[in-house]
Amino acid sequence: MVKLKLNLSRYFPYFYIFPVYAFIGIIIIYPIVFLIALSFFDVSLNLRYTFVGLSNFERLFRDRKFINTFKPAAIFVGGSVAGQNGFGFLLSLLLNRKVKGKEFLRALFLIPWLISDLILGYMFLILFDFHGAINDLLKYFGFQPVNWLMSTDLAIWIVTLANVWKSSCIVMAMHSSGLQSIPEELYDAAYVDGASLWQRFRFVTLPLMKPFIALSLIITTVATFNYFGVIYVITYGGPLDSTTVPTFYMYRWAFEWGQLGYASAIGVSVMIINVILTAVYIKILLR
Amino acid sequence: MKERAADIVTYVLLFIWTAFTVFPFIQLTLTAFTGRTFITSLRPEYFTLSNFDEVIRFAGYSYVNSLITALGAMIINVPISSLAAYAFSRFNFYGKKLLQNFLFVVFATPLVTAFIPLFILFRSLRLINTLMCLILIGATTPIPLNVWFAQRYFDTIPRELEEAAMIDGCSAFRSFIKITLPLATPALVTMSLISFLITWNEFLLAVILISSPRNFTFTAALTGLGATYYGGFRYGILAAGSLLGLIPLIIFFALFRKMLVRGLTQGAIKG
Repeated sequence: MVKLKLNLSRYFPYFYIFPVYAFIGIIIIYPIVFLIALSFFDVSLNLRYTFVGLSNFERLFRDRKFINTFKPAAIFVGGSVAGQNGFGFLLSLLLNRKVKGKEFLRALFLIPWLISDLILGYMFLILFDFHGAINDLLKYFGFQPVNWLMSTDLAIWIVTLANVWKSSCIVMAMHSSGLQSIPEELYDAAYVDGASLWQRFRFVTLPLMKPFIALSLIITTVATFNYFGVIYVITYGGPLDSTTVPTFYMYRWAFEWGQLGYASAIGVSVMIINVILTAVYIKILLR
Repeated sequence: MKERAADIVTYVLLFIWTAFTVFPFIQLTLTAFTGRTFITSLRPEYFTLSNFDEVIRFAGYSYVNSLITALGAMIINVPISSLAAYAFSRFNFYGKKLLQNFLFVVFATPLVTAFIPLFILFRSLRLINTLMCLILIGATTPIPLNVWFAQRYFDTIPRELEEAAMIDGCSAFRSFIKITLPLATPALVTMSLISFLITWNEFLLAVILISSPRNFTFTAALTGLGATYYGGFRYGILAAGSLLGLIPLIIFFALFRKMLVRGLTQGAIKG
């Protein structure tokens, strides 16, 4: 009897963790394995499957529209990563100084990250609509109004701006805990040696923050590459597909044009790009 | 002197970012109460509550749906996350490190790639069009963040307290429920807020998985209600609906600002 009890208690931890992994298995792991399988089929919205082998991928590589989605993606990812990391790091540096109301500001700056993509999108629609607040202000100060969201050049920058507005704060949050881990004595020592503010930043802060910066670069790159919520709301990929990024293209093939198999092939290629991006970054990070 | 200049620059830059953060919210509020998207020539007589009236009349129920979904996800997520976190914090077992690292991988996995299979999965389970599928997804997505957060908190609670209870005849599970969990209340609050907000804010999955209007969450309902026949938007409606959608966040910030910010800043390091 005692022996049985002992044997069971060895497995207790697995009972504790089982529910979490059951949920992850069903909601995340199974779908991703299933996605790979789906990409070899022709699947319609009423779920009739026809095996087509690799032809989805063949079609994908010849699909000019798909190739073209990488141009807006480059701007969206590049602009967002630069903006979020630049502003986020700057904000964390500013809030690391002796500032009044620091806690309040940190909380305030985090709010954009906590609102729904839908609300985020509507906010920027209201601001950048042709009859919106930004053009109203431009006219008030005597400038020509700009048709922000109808321009194939500008629209992608507006959604990028919205993404920077939303997620800079999460870079700030990452870095502020990193900055707090730098011992005060290092700055004092540098100060005694006569290092200027810039030199203290360049030779104390920056080297010690390197791992945090690398990590936030990975996270923001991968997150932005997969993100299209704000694009869905503000431009819906338009005008003329100028804001259609790969994940949004996948969404449209699946749920608008009902070709789940072809969309899954797009999904698989998105996943492969994710793995490559992460691997490259990890390699740089570990060097 | 130089330090003073740096202080001034600091305050100026912080002021600019504050303005940048706050301005969209101000414009949203103005639009919700006036129906106008401009700002320079607003007049008091534009003030109206009709946008709120219309949203509540035609989409009020969708906020209730969102609330049910978010609460449901929270009620599932917080207990299972804290159970797992407790096991990781207190026990040593075979494969522990691997399973923990696996959570990192899950966290980095883009959920977008699961949209299509989830749609098919819920369709074959006949759960599509129900709030249940959003609840199940909402119970899952915050798992890595919440397990990690709870584990860090449990690590700070001394084991001796549980051991004392176990000597008095408490089982391991009971001492977890009776001793550890009450001590971890701040962590549990943060976890609840995070999982509630993630599900409350869910928008793309709500649009994909829910097609019958009576099961719309507020995010799905607003996309329909705010559109016009000729392809434009009725901004007053969208703004009023968005403001109503911000109510939980406002309440959380009023009541639990410290816990929420701490949870997010610490959660962010893990990333």
